[in-house]
Amino acid sequence: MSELQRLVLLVPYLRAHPGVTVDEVAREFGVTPKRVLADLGILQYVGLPGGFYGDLFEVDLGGAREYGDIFVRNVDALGRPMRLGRDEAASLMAALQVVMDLGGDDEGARSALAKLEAVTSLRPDAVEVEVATGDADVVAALKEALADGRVVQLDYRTGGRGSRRRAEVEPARLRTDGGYAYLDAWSRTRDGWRSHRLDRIDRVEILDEHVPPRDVPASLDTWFSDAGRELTVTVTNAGRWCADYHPTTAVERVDDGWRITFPLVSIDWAARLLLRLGSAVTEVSDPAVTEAARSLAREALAHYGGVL
Amino acid sequence: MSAAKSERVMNLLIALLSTKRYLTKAELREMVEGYRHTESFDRTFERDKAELRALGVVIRTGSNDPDSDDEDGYRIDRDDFELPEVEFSGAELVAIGLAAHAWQTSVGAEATATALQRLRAAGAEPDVARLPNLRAHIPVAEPAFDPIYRALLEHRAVRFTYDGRVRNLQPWRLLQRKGLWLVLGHDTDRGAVRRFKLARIEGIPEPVGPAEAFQPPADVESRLDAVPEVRAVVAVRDVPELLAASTPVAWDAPVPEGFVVVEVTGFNEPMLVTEIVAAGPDAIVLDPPKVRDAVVRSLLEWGGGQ
Repeated sequence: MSELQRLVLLVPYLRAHPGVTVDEVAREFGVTPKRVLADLGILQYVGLPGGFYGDLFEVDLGGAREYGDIFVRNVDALGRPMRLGRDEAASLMAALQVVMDLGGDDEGARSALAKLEAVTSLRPDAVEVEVATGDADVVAALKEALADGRVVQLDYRTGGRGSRRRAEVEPARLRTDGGYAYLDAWSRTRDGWRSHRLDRIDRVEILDEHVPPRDVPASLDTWFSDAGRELTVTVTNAGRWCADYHPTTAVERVDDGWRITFPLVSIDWAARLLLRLGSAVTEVSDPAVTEAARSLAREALAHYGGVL
Repeated sequence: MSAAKSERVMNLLIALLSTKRYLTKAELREMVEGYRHTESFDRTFERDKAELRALGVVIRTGSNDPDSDDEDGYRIDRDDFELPEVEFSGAELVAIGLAAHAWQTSVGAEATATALQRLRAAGAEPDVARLPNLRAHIPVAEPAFDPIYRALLEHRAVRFTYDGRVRNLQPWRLLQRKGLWLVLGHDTDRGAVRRFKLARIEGIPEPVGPAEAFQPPADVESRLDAVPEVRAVVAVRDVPELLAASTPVAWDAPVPEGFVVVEVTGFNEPMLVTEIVAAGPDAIVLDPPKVRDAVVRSLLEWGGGQ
């Protein structure tokens, strides 16, 4: 932030926070206390044209030096901060939109957005972030459990086929990342920290038991990071999209196509990816995955027995 | 910036803000402390104006004489400049506090920080620590994001290489879908609305031409998501991806145990077929025959031959 930017912001800030300390202002603006006093020194000579007593800002510089708190008067000429520019409004509104989605149509975020729209007269549509948050009842139940610090029982599906699971977990945090919302929780069933994608949770039951205090890791491994194996698939240009929508460890240009390496989380997931890619696949590194894709396809084709 | 300069530009800002009529350069030279004794007044004044405009201050030019076309006067409209009075409730401040950290890097992070500072300078105290159990992140990994975001906000065209070809785009909107950043806009070479994946852009996009060169249309919304055009009736068991965008329908013929009959939609046939094929044995197309045949053909890629 330039000195000018800071001064333009400092005047309304001091007006809105009478008696604020030099140290607090230094923290707010990311400068040293000495710099704050120097800024106050400049502001003494700023004010309405004329430059006489009554025109200039009144800054109690002596008081600030001696007691460390700041009082200003007669600063109404620059008493309000600047409007939010397009970039500030667009960025903050996009962020609020995500907060609103994460909170299951969070009331506070919704009304804050409406107020910002009114004071900026800008439409919040430069950036749009879509977050898959799943079922509204699930989000509401998890929010309630988090607020009350209660253990929950989750019914959820894993990425693969036919795998419904149930786990007793201690909810720690709801978060969004990369287009999805997750619950970070200590899983009693699995005895470890787990992230559950909200759109894969079918049902939440709040149990009559409180969550014991635990240190929540700042970041939790995403679902694929504990995959020990990798899968390399070579695809034609028509299949390149798969590198955009799935985590990869390598993407390489090869003759007439792309060689893409994925962390291999589950054979079932990988087999379904092959089905999706269809004729775009030219080579698969793991025969087990190829075999799984074949067997899924055969099983599917059996439904259409009459057609074959 | 020297203290004398900051003091002078601040005084110029206040003079322009506090006047009801346009002030000429000569008047400003007399009024503003710091100009009176400047020898190179013209140059200093131009620089000071540029300094204020760089902050985002809108300086209007014009004349007090309604019959004159002269633009020799200056003023700042207080309504252009000031954040209007706004008060936030406790719940709103919690939401704003959570929003404050959504952008980790990128122009978005800087802009949000500035927005929060302005709100705090207006007396609002966003609650940044109250709810550590909610965390909204907007990840940005694509290096193309920042230059495109800047250009989009400035209504300026960008040029970049995509699929080996140079594209010129008037960016209208940045979208994150399934964690993937896309830019939608008017491709001026093709004269058509196009969207591009940021991750596929080669190199760093460059701004082209002046700012405010175009106005995004009011109906970007309607150009965003084409209306799903293809429908199919499918018997499904346990496929959240398919069930998410489906509606239950009545179906007279029997279906295997554990299956429910729904109608699913897709933007085009290949996309719909791909989704159904990925469901493998957990989805059976019942109608129309065209989609059913396409799914069977696609499944034969893997399941045929034995």
